[in-house]
Amino acid sequence: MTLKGERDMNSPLLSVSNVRKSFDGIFALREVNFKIFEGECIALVGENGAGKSTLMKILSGVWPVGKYDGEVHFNGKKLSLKSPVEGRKSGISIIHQELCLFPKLTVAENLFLTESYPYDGTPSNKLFERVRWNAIYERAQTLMNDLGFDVEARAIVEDLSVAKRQLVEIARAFHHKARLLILDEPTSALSQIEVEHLFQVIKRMKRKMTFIYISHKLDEVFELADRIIILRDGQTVKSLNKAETNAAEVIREMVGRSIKLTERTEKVIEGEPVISVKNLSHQLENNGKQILSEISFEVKPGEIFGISGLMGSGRSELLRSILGVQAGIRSGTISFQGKNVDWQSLSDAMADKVAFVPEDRKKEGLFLEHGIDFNLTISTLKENVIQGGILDLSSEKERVVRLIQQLGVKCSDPKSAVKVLSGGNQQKVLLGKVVALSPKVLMLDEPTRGVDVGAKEEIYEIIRQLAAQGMAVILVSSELPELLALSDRILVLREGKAMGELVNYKLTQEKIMSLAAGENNGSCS
Amino acid sequence: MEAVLEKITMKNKTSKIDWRSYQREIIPIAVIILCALVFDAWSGGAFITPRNLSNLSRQVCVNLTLAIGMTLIILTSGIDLSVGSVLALSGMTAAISQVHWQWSQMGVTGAVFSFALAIAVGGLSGATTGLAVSRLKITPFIVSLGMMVIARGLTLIISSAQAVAPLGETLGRLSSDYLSPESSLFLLSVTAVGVVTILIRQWIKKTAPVFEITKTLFATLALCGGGIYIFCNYRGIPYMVFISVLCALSGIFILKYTRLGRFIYAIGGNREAAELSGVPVAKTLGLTYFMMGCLAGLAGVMDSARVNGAVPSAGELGELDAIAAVVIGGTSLMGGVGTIGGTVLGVLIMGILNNGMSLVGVSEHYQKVFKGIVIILAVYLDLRSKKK
Repeated sequence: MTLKGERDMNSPLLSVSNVRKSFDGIFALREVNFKIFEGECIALVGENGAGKSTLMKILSGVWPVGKYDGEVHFNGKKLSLKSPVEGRKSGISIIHQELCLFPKLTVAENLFLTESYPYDGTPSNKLFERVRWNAIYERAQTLMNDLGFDVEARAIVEDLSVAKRQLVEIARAFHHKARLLILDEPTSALSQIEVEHLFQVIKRMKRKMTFIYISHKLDEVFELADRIIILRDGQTVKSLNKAETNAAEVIREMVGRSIKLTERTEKVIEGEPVISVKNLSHQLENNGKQILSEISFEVKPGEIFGISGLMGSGRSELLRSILGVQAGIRSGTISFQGKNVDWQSLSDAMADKVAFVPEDRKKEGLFLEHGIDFNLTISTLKENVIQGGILDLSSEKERVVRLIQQLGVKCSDPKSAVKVLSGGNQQKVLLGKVVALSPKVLMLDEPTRGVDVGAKEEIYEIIRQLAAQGMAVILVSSELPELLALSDRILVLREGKAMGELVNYKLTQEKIMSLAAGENNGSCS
Repeated sequence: MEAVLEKITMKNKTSKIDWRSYQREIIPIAVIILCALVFDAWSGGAFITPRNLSNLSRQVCVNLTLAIGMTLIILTSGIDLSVGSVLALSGMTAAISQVHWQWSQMGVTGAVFSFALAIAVGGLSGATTGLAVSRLKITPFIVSLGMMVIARGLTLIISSAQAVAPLGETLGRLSSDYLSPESSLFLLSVTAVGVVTILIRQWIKKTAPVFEITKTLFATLALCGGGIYIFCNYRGIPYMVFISVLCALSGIFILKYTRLGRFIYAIGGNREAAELSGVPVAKTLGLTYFMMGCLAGLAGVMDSARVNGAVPSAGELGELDAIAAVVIGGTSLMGGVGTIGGTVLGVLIMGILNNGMSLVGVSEHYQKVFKGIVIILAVYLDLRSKKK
């Protein structure tokens, strides 16, 4: 089936033309066009939210044909996948950031599980066919040895390191005769040595498979890829040959959208810091991984302090660590209004008037089945207590109406369930919940994720107003324009370390991105 | 401010009433009426009589008391399997205090002491379960399964596996006595008039949606009217009914008008968000299991009063009846969604089936089969009504 060594430049292995995909009227992909040829290794890069994961979901069949516009041709035929299973059968395999293996089963079982019993190469559909274990282990070991992977076929997957689990996934894809293998941020959980080993594997496998490598890390991209395809705001903007480009150009193309930037004036905020963090480190308990190291900063009342960093840089973990809701061990000192504090839970922090808006509003923020009113007041019910925990519903209702007005939540009835609201309105409800607390420090993690442009502006305005009222705002965002539009200062993180603190005056996206992605490493080739 | 309030209420008024969303309440009520009519016809008019319905109301009290607590627990997305055994343990403690310690000689004081002792024993068991669930973070299913076996074992130990009877006369009156028909009439009419006044005020001031008001109005009139018909024509309101209805009303109040109630819904609705919203999750859970324990204690002393003694096997499978009633009443086992009102309807459906089938002479064995079918059917209908 595989035409080894043949590389016909005229018929691409994968061609994507005019693919569009929208969610509730918001475009995730506007115009995606590219071609990939057999045996190439392509790096797909783009900012957070550029549409990479949506594109991957289309290629793997998570979004079935008909749920998007445009055409995808694979191996000369139109790709019309109806499910992820069909995607795998068609010859496209994806290795996700979170690995999709059965942790309690052996390597061999994971390799052959989706096959017909009894897994030893002789297909049978009888459910009670005896499983020939020895044959399975032998076959699995042979496969691993042939690929040069140092993995024991009898090992239980959860006992393996992340790097070895990735090898199992690669072997499985190979076994399923995948011709195109997509790796989504494969190195985010690997050590340096493991990364090098993975790269050797990919380089060796290049002859057998075609790769799409998705990564933020430009040094990796430049080491592996033959060609770099850049995705920005749901569009493929450039396809650059590695030999003819450099990291600076790639960064420019990644962020280079025209944005109306309100010209920031140099602004000095006076006053004593309300919160200051010194030498904060955070270590995970289970594997001892250092997710934050030696981070220090301070924020004054009325200031918006941005925190930037790529995925996995520890930007969300920093907020969670300060608030005491991140698993693991924290060290360093946090002082709030001049006193050292040691918050162990959000209730502790909230008692000191520090509020937090989590990143994943559906999972961590909202009570979806419950009404807007329920969501808005759940953190601040004390304000409506008559006595001994009994609520005054009419004063609560007045407060709800006031909050709905203040935040501009569009709804017909304050009792309607939050799940029917649009993303923007849901986010406003979430903001309203913490605004109701009138906090001194407001920590926002991705306050506009999945929110359309109009609602975004409204939310920005709310945040600016809150800061103008004297709140200290700490803003974590993956969107650089957002950080540039709002922040007074920006702390850039990379792999849990502070790479620099920039004053937002004449600051550019490129400058932040080069700190966050590590341009110095990438430009060598 | 006022204008906005009004606008929001106005919009609410003009919006079309979506009957589908009230299916969850209408279906159980329809089932109750239908069952009552069928059993009445089948038994030749013996079902819908004040005497039979009064008996029915006494029969459901124990399950109602348990199911109220169980609703709170299930709303937090937990479960308490120990309530049947805790009922037995506390009922047995009360009986032993009456018989072996001779508190029955002390008249009213003795009865009150035994009553309080039973609730204390229940509360202690509930608090233990609550601590294990909230502090040690063990799954409620496992903790309460363990507590179920422990409490049953303790019951057998303290009773030496023997029935303990008879209770003193005073405690027995808890089950056998009634408020006088006159005071029952007074109580029920005052309640009806009171609720209607409040509803009219709400209607004029537009502080609640019209449909909500109509719903409450119908429920009140039906309950008070039915109550007057049943109890004033036959002896009056049984003490047990009075107590468990009081529990139900407290439960409704807690869920709607207190922070605790909000926290219960919040924990069941989204545990992670509750924690990140500053909800005191451990405290709330602990308190909920404690309340469940107290109610199981109350149910225990009621059960003992009903049979005028205690047997070690009391309340066996009581937890399942309570869970079934809660689920039939539309509370989601996933937590976060449900009401005590629904649970009351669920308890009534189970009670009517028990009473009606016994009345028409269906054997107890067939009754079990039929009840099982009803539970599955009820949940299926509820599932369907939730789908759009």
